[in-house]
Amino acid sequence: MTLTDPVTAATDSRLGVIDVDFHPMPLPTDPQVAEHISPRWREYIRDYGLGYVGGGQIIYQREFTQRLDAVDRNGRVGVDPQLGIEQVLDLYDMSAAVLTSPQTYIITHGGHNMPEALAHELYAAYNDALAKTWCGADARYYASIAVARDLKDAVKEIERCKEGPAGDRFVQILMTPAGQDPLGKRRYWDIFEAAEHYDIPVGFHVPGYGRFPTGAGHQNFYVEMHAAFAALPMGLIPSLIFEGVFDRFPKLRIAILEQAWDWVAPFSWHLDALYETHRDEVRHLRRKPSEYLREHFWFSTQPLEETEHPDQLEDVFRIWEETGMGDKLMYSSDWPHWDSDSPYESVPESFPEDRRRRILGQNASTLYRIPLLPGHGLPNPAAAR
Amino acid sequence: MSAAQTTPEQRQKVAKYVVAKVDELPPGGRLIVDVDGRSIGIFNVKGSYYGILNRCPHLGGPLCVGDVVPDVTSEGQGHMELDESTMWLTCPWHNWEFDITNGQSYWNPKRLKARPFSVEIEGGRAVLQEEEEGVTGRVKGPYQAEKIDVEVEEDYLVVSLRPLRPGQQVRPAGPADRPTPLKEDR
Amino acid sequence: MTTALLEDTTRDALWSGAVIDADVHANVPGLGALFAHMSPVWVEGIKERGWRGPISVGLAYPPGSPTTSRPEWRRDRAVPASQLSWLQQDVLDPWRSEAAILNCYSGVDSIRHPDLAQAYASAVNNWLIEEWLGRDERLHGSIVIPARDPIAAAREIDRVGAHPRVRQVLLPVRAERLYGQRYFNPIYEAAVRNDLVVGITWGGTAEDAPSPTGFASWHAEEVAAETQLYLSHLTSMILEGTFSKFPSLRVTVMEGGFLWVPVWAWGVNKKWKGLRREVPWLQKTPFETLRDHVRFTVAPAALGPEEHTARTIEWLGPDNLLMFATDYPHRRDDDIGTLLKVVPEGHRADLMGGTARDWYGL
Repeated sequence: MTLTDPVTAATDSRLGVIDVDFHPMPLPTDPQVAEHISPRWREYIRDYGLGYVGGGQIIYQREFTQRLDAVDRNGRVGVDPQLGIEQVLDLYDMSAAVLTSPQTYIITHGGHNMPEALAHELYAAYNDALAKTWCGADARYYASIAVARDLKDAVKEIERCKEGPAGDRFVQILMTPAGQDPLGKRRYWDIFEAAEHYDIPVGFHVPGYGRFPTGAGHQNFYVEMHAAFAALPMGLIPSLIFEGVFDRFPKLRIAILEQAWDWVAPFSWHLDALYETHRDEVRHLRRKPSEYLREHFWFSTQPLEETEHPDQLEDVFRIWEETGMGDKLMYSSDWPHWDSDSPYESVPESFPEDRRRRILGQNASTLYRIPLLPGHGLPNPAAAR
Repeated sequence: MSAAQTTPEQRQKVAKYVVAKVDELPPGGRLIVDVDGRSIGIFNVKGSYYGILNRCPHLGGPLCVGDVVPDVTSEGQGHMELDESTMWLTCPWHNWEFDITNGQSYWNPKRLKARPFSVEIEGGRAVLQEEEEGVTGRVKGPYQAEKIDVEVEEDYLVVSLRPLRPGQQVRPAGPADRPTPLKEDR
Repeated sequence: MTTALLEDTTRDALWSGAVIDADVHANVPGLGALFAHMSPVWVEGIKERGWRGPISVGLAYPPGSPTTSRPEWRRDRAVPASQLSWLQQDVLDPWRSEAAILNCYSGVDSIRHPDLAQAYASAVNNWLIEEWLGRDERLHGSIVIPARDPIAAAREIDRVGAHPRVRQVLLPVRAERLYGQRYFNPIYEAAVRNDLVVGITWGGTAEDAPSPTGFASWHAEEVAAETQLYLSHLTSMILEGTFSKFPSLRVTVMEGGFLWVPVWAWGVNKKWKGLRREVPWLQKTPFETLRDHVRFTVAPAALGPEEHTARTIEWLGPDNLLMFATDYPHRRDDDIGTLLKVVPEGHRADLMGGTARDWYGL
């Protein structure tokens, strides 16, 4: 599969930047969300809350897992598009930030423990908030469509958003990587069909809202929970691959967000080894797992890798690139969270120019079909020489 | 490190900057000031003054905006105790802990250290004298110049700095120029 | 090509030094084999009910799955690896192993009746000790314990743990809880008291799906995802302070792979640096803790391109953390020759036997 490349290349003196993981975090009671919720359900939320949300049992490092300088003048986190513009879009002269709102499925726990009509309305309200309040505030904001993957007719939300007035600003479908069943199962295939139809990727972002946070129950600590972010795709990806999703949907593109990335090389060896011994079991597959991985999956830089010794980092990137994934890594800030990264630090100037160009913006531009704005981005030291 | 412990050569190179009056910085308070191209945080921890460069050695975050917290120690699984004899300045981004008295982090003490700055209290008279002699420079930042002019008897906080290379600036990688609200520390 | 079969090469051409096989399996041939080792009330109960044995054995190792047994090591329809003579003929003798760690995944975890679980575990341990360890001095065994009763588990460990060739306690990777949680401390206390390694092995019974992503469709898919469970247990043990409470505790990870370890461990290091205050009993980095307390068998290995594999193994650290294993009778298509090439030269003797010898006190 080759993607046509509608991207405008950044000028040589600037490396275009797209942030692929930027989090608005409003609550349903915030006007930007509440204005899209009907009175019947606003009152219901007021009186009955949001049902079991699964969280709250582990105490986070801060209430909204925020970095302390991302608190706005009202003491809130992730509700003010202007603060995001200041701290991210303008500060790094970005071409775009792709808004992800796992907040939607976090607060609804996937929509499982509330009336279905309320769940559908909340997902729509959040998607509308992104479109109106955030994308309306700045042309550089693009949004993801949060989808309640385990509810009937969840796929209709994709159509509603893409066919609506902000259709072009929605560049991704976003779901939790863990739900009732692994995503490769047939019952989720209508979502992949919609993704192919609208030619947008399906993105997955932590946390999972599966049956339990791990296969052996609950974690006790926030640090432990955070360490498991990179574990979720290890269940998601085998499902998508071994179920034959990519044979059925050859144009499907998947974004794995905030679930790390440099575990992929050894994992691809692991999948290929299993495929070799189990060829007969999964005889419906046409290709090796590593081939599907290389072709259909993109990853964000978060959580940023920090090797034990600095000289190991180059090998990490080299192995990634030699595994064929050089076009698949995309810078993400994870604003406004505490482990947020600046593009300068996460893609340092010591890296080869080509690598920086791809990770900072080009790979994201290809995936999301968002043009890099000419003359904008980080200064390119190579151009200055 | 205080001026008294430096060599005469070093003292010649070190410049002093008045950053605020002592009573602008009560115990538990902090100020973030721009001094000669550097952003610096000044802290009053139970009556002692400490200065730290406002740039986290990890990934450049605005270190001095972080919470100042007592140490949490442990003798083993299940045991946790507060130890107020060590106060950490924690980075507002990734939460790394730095000893507020000297910038030292402890999980990898050889490798990472936040840059400390000496902060001394000088008697009002001594500071004024140095000003007239051109040794002590005025400070840009959120303070009104006229505050320094008010009282001879008042104590001043003075910061000692080696000059930067021409054109060099040291600022956090974050939004350094946005006015930073003062936070209440424990 | 897999070298476990010594197909196109000889044992000495591959490695001429000492060999210790850190993971070989014994399988219970049928419940009848255990009757002599359990009290009559259980024998009666089993026969009366027509019970066929713990269900999770067949779930962990589906009878016809390639990984359950290499075809060369099957004997018609008999349960693979259910006779000592087969183990001896198939791997112990050809490899001239100085010693082997014998593991019997018996599915005790899938028995809910608390007393039958204890009786079954004891019966398996008695059978293993008498009919395997007792008949081949190369064998050093792992014992099994009830999965949901740490007090009863500790009792069983104390009952048989003093046997000179019992060296390990098995904890299956699927469990109701993460193994760092203090609920399991009585097991670690007993293991340390008896100087036994704790071995995390393939198998077990989860409370719900064995993965946060749900129930997999395909066995290959299920096995692929299991890495997340291995790493969740290790993360739990390190961060919960199990090794701080039990500084002499040793853990072996079997059938879990190892090439995923450095990248995951760097991640835990990084988070811990910012979140130390939540788990202040940890005095050194998670990766250092792992190096001090955990070892990995190399079956399966799932090696990648040689140079990439070599770098990844280097990242594991200055000391060898790997232990050679055939994982008999499971089929693993790993080339030990390649593995020997990509580990640092100074680690090879440790890989093939030195580390296991120290770790298990052989």
